[in-house]
Amino acid sequence: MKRALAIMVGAALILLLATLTLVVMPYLQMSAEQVPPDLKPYTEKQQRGRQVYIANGCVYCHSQQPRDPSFAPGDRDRGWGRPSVPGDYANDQPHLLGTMRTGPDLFNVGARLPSIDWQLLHLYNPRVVHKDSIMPSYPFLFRHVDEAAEGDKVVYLPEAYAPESGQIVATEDALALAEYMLALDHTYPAPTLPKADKPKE
Amino acid sequence: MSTQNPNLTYNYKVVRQFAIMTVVWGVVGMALGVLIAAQLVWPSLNLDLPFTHFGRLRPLHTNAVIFGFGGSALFATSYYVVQRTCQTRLISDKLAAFTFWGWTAVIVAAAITLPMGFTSTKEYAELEWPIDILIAVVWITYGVVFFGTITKRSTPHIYVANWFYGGFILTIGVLHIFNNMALPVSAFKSYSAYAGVTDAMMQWWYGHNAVGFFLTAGFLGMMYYFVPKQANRPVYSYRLSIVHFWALIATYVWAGGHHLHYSALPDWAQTASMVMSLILLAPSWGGMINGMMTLSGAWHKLRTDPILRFLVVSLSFYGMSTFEGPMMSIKTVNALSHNTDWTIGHVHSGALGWVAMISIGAIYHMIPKLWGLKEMYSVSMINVHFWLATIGTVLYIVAMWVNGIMQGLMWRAVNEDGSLTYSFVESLEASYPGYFVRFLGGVIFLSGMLFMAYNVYMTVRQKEAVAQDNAAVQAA
Repeated sequence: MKRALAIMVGAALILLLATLTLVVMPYLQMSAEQVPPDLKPYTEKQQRGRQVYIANGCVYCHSQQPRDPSFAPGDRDRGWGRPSVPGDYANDQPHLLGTMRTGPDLFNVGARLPSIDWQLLHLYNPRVVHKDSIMPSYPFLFRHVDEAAEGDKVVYLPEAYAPESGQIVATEDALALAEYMLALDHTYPAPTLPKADKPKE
Repeated sequence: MSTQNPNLTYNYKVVRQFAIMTVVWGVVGMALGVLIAAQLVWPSLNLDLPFTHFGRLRPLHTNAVIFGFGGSALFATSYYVVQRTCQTRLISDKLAAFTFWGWTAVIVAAAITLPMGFTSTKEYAELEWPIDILIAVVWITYGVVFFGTITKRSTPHIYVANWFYGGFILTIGVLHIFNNMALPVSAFKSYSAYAGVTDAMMQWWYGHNAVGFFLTAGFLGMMYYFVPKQANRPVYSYRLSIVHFWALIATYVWAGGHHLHYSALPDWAQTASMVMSLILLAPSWGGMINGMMTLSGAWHKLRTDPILRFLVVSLSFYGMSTFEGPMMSIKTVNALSHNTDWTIGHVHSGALGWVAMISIGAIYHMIPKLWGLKEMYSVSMINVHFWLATIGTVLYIVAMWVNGIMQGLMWRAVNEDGSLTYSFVESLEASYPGYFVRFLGGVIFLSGMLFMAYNVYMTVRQKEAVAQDNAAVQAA
């Protein structure tokens, strides 16, 4: 029993020490940092869109964390934005930082591609926009109707991709997701960013 | 003297059940992996349905292989090993049976809820809160059964394999509970109790420790029993095994931050994680060397024993990926490798090469014993499986190395005037051949698993095969 106990207590103590250092201490440091004053809270619709983003696993292929240009110049030069700071994520619960870029980073996609029509078209079928895209299409976020009713958001497709008759309109989920994408705009200045890393004007 | 006397027999029923489910979840999880690999080559295979597209099936693939296949293998082998090395029956058959049905229910629930889009979005911990609670209950029961069995052992020592299993059970329990702290808002929706970068840190603290304890410590426990047993040699150095046990767990828990290099996480925390990741190489290789050297004087057996081949090759992949990991955690290397397919390749050299191969070897070792047979239905089929698994793994990881390094280089390439050389889509187009080779490697690995499933099926339905649910205690 003594040995079994020693293994259990030993392992637990080691884990506790590392947790205090690597989770609790960064937490204390980051919570002392300023939240950028220009960071807007999500609207209800954007939150709903965020849930659609989560439910469809977008995070597995898209990160939301541009890196410092001194290490990864591509992040800035592709228009993905300045390096993110802890305050940028103050409203993100759960976080969606992601670690994989099968597709591009989306932290500033709202600034980069600000058209809701583009976003909807791309969600309906990414290959309409980029013929070599490997992103899944999300037709189930859209409805095929004979004729769009008043207030329906119609997706205008090139002939080759359009249905033979009728129209494609966005569901509430698609609109919410597109709204969330447009809300991904962190181009405001970050007060806590070290000076040397500020994007060169 | 009845064989039902709990002091004199082993409970092999639960081991048998978990062993079979290891094969079942292995086939299912890897088939899903092949499907999502194919979706990255032919996007039309997403089928335009909510339940079948990449974003929904990718977490199901990881959950099915890690927790279904790997988890069942760990349950099966830990119950087998703890009984044999402690010379005693599991402390409770009922609790052990509960862990089997509970765990299997967890994986089935995952297979239903993940394609429906119920997810907490935390990688490797996607399942929503009701399932998380079931996992916690099953896991605590597992701990009670395992540690309870150790306390009533009739041997003076606790064999080192049990140290690793014990460390893994304890740590994973704690990690699971803390990482999944969430506020339920409805039956299948909850919000993380943490926000922003803290949430990310918490997740990778869990995520990397899941690799360190679930996918490493647990499988090292497996290694310390099955390698000596199959080679019929004592462990090379018992002292080294104890030293590297403490070194490994003391170092692993510090390494999670390397998943967040160059993120908004404070720089010192990233650097601390990098340093600890580098140190981790030493205990990792301590384990590998100890396993390899156990074969001293028995190397000739590799020529005739495909099970031993599985075990030894798994150790080579373990050594390779535990070298690759610390290297990738170096910040300058990470600047290139981060966010690319290299990471996926690294995971799979560990997952296919190490975790899957050692589990496969252990299952082939156990199945005949659990059914009172001398050997598997077909030994040459094990050999075929070995080659398919090895070739599949090598194709997979080479494809991802090529893709990952190419992506990293293309993303950072600049022209003389400072503008970017390649657009993002160009790097994607360049990745197609690699995606195809990866798919091919997956198909080959999966076909090996199908050979295994057939071989196991044919083994247990032989006339002489009798399930040894209550095997008599024998020398470990």
